[in-house]
Amino acid sequence: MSYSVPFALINGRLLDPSSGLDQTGGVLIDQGLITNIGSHINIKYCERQKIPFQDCQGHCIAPGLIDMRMQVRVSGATLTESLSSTLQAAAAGGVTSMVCLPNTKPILDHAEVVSYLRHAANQAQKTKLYCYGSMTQNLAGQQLSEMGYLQQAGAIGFTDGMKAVDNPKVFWKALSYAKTFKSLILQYAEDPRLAEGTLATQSYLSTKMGLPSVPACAESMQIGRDLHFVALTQSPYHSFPITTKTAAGIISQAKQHQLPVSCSTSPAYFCLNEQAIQGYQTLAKLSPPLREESDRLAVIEGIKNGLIDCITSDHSPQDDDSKKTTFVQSSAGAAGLETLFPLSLRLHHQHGMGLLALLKCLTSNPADILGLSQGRLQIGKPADMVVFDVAKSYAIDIHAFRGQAKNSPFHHFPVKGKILQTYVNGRQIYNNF
Amino acid sequence: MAAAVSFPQHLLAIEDLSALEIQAFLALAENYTHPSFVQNQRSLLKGLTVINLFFEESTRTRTSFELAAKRLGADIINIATATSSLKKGESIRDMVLTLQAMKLDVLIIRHPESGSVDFISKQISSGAVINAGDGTHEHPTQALLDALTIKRHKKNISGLKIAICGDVLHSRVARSNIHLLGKLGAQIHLVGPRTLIPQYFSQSNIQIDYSLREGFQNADVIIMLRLQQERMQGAFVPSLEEYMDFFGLTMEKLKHAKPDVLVMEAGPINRGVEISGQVADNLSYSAILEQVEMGVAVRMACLDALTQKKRLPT
Repeated sequence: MSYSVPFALINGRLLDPSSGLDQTGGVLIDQGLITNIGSHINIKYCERQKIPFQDCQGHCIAPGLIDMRMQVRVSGATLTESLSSTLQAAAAGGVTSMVCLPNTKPILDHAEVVSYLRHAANQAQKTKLYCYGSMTQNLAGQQLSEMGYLQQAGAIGFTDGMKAVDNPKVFWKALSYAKTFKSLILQYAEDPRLAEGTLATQSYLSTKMGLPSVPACAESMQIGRDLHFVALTQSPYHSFPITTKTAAGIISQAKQHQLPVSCSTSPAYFCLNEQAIQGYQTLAKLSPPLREESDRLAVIEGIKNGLIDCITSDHSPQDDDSKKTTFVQSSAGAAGLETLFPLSLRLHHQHGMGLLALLKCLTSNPADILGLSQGRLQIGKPADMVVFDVAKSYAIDIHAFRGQAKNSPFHHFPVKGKILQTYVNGRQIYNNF
Repeated sequence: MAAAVSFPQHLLAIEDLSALEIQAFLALAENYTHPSFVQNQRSLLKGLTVINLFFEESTRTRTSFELAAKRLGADIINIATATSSLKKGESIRDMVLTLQAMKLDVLIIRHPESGSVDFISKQISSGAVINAGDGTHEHPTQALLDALTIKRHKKNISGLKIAICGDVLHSRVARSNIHLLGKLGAQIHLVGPRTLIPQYFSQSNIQIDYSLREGFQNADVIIMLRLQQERMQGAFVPSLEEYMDFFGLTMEKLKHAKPDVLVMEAGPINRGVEISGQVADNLSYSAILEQVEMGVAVRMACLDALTQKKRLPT
């Protein structure tokens, strides 16, 4: 499909979570924007207007996924995944916008690094890559980063990524300072002193396996502490990832008290539990660790009842060698861009969550939290879209990943639902129709 | 000009003064801006003892008080506590009682702890205490000289939009100014990064802005506060560069204010941090040096006002 002439996707099931649209019809795209949408965009319309079209054969047409927690490797890391490889994985995963953590090398605590990354991603004209600036300089948790400059360069929020800013004075200042620039603070939900040196969640299994472990309360302790400062400053706060029932409880109370709080989780925490590390399976070594079954069920419940606002990929590419070692020495993290969609659909197929409600967690909710205008299938919005087959059953095959990183605990995992095409600004960046 | 209001015994805090009392101080100070009036008062405090008791470093304020006392003919003593008996373990209370025993008439105190000057004022039974700055609490004579400077340019303080910009959290100058300008009916805008602007100043005449563009909109007066660089350790702002870029006063940022805006700052100023040299030196806007001149006049007025009862003819 050419970018420079209008074209249409017709005969699809139109899905727009933010407006509640769920009907058969088509979308007209021109100059990178959605210019018309509805049941009237059909073959007759296209023939009359002489507009090239694609028949979606009844498959779903939805806004492209917005992934608000993932990692890129910037330089010197071609063994794990290059930026272009990450962009390929995102396209295959149906992700049209994503936000990366600042734990790149060099760290996103200087405006120049942010500018470089944004520029490199824009050049590629594929998935829109945004980034979070670091909350503290050098991710050291002591001195505030230059949030003003970082925001000017394009940072859309601030976080220390894979660890919480633990010092209460520093965190309080970070929340206050971010509010000066009307920006969002995102905090990794785990008390770093409790988590230090641990590899698994504290339980009978990890005890039996002899693995140093962290109690589940380390998550709610960090969040609970943070929420006092959120109440004091009324500054927007996002907690991620939510993996335990106690954390879900605390977030629920905070929302009832109308605090400016949001949160997200990723599929590993509602598709797997700690049993996945049996046999010292390094592909299931994640940070934070996989939890007990009761936590997994609480996460599912939290997503279904709207307590957990978004689902993210938590894409953490690791090279083969770093996982092909002992559990203790293995790197933590899983590639997640290409499994985000099918795994999230399990909430619809197996746990009775409405398709629109589920897609909201992947599109307009993250867009709203981040202040992005995309994530909606509406006239005037950027034509960032996916076409997907909601019913196709298959097993996840890591060797079919378009991205370089294959470190996923979901190889052979049975799923239902497949991305067929991905569009960014009306340009097709992935096609597997 | 006879004051219709009688002055308080001490000058400890603007918060304690009524609008009428403030106006009385300012009216008296205005007299002291005229050299001929000052000439006539050169023996006003003859025979009276004034002591500068400074527990904290100062050149400007101490010299200003010293000049004021000398021009009124008082005997002025400077005590810098670094070389005082406090080093020998004497308590502040004993030191003050000792000074009082030598018959002091005015005690001018600067101390690094909030509330300490109030404590000292309760230890003495006769004599007047002037607060030259206690911790982050108040600096009344600074607020009075700021108000006098504004009045010379703007006539009335009531109804003016006054932006106070910078490290409000740690500033006694800001607190005194907020009290004084508020009592005289100004509309105050506190501007700065959220880490340095306490959210508790929420009276109806005070607005808080986190961007200079909003805070300076149509301002009549801009009062810049020095960024105390020792605050860097406290993680209040990430770097001087970012602070200057977003919260520092430059010619560019002045454009949001009224064309005849008055720019003020209590010295010492940090050029290139909270204020650019270009603005500080531009006499179309900057009243910074004039403030120093007003400082001496205000302090002469304070010495006059607080010793009036003592000087009543017997």
